[in-house]
Amino acid sequence: MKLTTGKLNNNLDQIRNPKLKRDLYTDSSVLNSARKQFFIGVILLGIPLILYLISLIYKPYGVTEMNPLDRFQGPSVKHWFGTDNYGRDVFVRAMSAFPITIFVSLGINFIGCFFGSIIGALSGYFAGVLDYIFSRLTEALLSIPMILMGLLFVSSFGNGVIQVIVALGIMFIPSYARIVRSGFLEYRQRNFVKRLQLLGSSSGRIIFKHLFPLIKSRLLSALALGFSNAILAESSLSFLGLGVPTDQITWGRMLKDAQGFVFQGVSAAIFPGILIVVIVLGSFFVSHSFKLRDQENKL
Amino acid sequence: MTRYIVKKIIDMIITIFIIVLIVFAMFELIPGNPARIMLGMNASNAQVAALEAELGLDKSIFVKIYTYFSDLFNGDLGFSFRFQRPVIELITEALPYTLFLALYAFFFIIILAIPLAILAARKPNSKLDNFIRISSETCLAIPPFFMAIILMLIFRTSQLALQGGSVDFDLNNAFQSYWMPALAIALSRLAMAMEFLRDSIIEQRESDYVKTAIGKGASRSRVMFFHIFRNSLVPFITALGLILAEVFSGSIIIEQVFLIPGLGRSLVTAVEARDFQLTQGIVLLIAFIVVFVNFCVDLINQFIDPRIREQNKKLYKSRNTFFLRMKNQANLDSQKKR
Repeated sequence: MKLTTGKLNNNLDQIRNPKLKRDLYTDSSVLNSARKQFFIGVILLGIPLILYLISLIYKPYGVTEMNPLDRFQGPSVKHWFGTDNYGRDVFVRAMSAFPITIFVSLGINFIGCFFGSIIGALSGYFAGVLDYIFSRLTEALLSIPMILMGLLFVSSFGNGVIQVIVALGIMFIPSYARIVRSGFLEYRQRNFVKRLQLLGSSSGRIIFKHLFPLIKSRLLSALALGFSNAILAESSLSFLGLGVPTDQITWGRMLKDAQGFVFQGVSAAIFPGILIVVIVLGSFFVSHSFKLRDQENKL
Repeated sequence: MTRYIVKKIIDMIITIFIIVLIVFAMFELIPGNPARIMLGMNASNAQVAALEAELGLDKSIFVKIYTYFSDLFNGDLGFSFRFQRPVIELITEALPYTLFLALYAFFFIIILAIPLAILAARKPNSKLDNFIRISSETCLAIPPFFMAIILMLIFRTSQLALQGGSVDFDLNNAFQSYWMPALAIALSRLAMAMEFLRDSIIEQRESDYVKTAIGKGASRSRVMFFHIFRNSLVPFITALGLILAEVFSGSIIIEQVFLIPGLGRSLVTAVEARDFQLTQGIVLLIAFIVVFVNFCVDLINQFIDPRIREQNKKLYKSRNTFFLRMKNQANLDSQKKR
């Protein structure tokens, strides 16, 4: 209800003041572009998903099935993504890496978003000393490059899916905390928050019932971006051969294996990378669309 | 001004302290006996006990933290078991390669980002702007190692580098041999710096002083470079400071692709061999560099933009207590545009 009245006033302002007319025009174009970007993003994210669903039904080769006669094949009807240096089918291998990639990325973002939101909300809402302590902590975490933290974790606790998720999840906390904190700082001095405080609402109620819904689309945008960053970080770790265990196929590891034969077997070195790029770009577009929507719905 | 610098230095020290604690905690939390893991399964119990005594594993946690910090303060990062040499020696050997690679990547980022951002900001949301932004976003979506593979395929030159380091990554003719790894890092991180600069140029162009300058008859290029660009530098330099950690991440991976004997390769070797002290040393060093550079970025911004200087002067007035400063800082942050 509050949102709509705010909007109406805004429009009245625009009609009264001819200088603001341009904004009236851009508003709808912003929404259109947000819709368009969301659409593009969903299509890009849908491509790997559809390929994965196809690979569940259509499985012409085994994951580790070698075929020495068909080494370094280009893409064809027989081998959709070509073959690698052992003659293994790249399509089947790449698709078998799809679920683990998505699982790791979601896990990382769950940890990052959960703890990041709590830290960001507390430091943004209460500000002051708590904010100082948390901002030193986030600054410290941000100064350690993500890959380094992953490597440090792996060196201490060994290879493993859980290790990667926890290590990178910790590194994702500061970015979420920053976003939530800036949102809370923006709204904490507003009149509606003061009124709620005077009415006797508890801090928890204000934070969860009133402030979190306001930064929902901002958080969604951050989640989409975090999803792509997690995929990039995870593939970098597996490219170094130190992420998830060696028996698990991932796109980073496929690229590492294909790296030595770039000029003989182009397709083995290209397709896993393209899959990463398509998913990451798709989430970029989705993230942008949420960002635009957030700017549009600003209170 | 001195107050501000002193307080920033205190902040920096606290941050470094937290980083060291995190790294220390990693070593403390290792499941099992670190000495046993380092020496391998074949070591005798006496050897393990000797190493434990040497590492001080049998002491209490406070003693351990104290010795860790005092060793760090004396520049002693420990002893590498994989290479059987002090960590500090190994790091000083490998650091120049990584540092050069990172700086070279920064050089590419700066010379590519500035013209692209100015071109893109000329007409926001035009075809050219959209093209530049979408292509730089696409580059951002490409992980550095895949970018390296793409560059190899495009230029077809570093076939030798792939087959066992036949291309010489000596620092003598570094500018020729390092261009491809540096470009791979730069391209995959270019978009961040460019977007920051583009947005701030667009924002600055709407401001009053630019209109005044145009009204006074200043030429377009003069307004662009002496008024808009100078004021857009602050967010750009801040963005460069933020990218630094990413560039180091990138160079660690790229070193693995091109077999450059830098910190990244020692780090990966150390992690594979579970050489904890070398791993910690490299992580701490890179984190220190990042913290220090970001501190310098804050100072540089002060000198470029008098408005920031004034704001900080007000914020760090001698009468302001710590609590008041935090409150004012929060208020300032809340007024800031996202």
